[in-house]
Amino acid sequence: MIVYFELIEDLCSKRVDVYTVRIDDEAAFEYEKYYEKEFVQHDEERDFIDSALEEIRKRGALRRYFRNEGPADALPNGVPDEIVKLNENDQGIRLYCIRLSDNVLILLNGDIKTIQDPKDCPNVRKHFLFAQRLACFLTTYIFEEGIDLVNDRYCFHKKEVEL
Amino acid sequence: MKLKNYKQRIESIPEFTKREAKHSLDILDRIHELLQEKFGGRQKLLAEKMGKKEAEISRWINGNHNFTMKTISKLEAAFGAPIIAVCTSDVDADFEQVKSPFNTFHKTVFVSEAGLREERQLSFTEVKMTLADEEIDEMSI
Repeated sequence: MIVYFELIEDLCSKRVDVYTVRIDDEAAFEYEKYYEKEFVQHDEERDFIDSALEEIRKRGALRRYFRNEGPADALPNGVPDEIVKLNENDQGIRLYCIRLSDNVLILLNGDIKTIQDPKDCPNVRKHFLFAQRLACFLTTYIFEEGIDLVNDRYCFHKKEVEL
Repeated sequence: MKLKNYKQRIESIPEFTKREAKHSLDILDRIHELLQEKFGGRQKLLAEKMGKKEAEISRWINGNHNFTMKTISKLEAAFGAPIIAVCTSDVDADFEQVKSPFNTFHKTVFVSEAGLREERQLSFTEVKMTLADEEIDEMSI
């Protein structure tokens, strides 16, 4: 699997470089696929996630702003009070991402989670597992390549890696 | 890559949702600040103070929680310091400074029953002026 990184210009700021990825020969980037999705009856939560990303642009990708999902991360960082749930199994939207540092964030894909364990949820399983896999790969890759996440701005832009 | 109609999408988000997201992150910032200041960053000590398991505190601190007023109040009691502050025109209000890297300094003017004007320099992330500038100018001491 070839993974290609690119900056999301609209979300980048002085404090944080925000990337997404494209897998193999797919036309769309992973975050682009999430961005274009329609989340029926989850407009408020979707807006909340977009607003949280805007705040993260201003503040940096601090660890505490993300849900911990093992080696990867997810948004939102707390479901809004009045989320409309389709049924009892609706656990809300999960946007999977990888927070490499306060300054480097990779946004991936997501969907509405319906089962407690994301590995068992037909909607998010694929996105969750890919995030885990990419996060584990990057942990080793950054160390082996000696990538400086703090000082080397745009270090992943237009980079390709093989998983 | 550029996102389609991103600016319009953000502008169309209701103001209350934007504020909710901002407040959520402000509260997380403040809790982390207090955890460092009062307990040296040790969640275990906060958990012991609150009579809770460390895992539960960790979920709160690390963003996997939607805070209720009750939870915030319990945290304030454990920290012995405010997490949130409310704007009020009460002259007896005792605002402690809320430290945040995103502070904006505002001047708050109170008018006592005797008609005396008191000013305080306060530091909040969001504070409305008690009186508009024009109203302050018109006042006589």
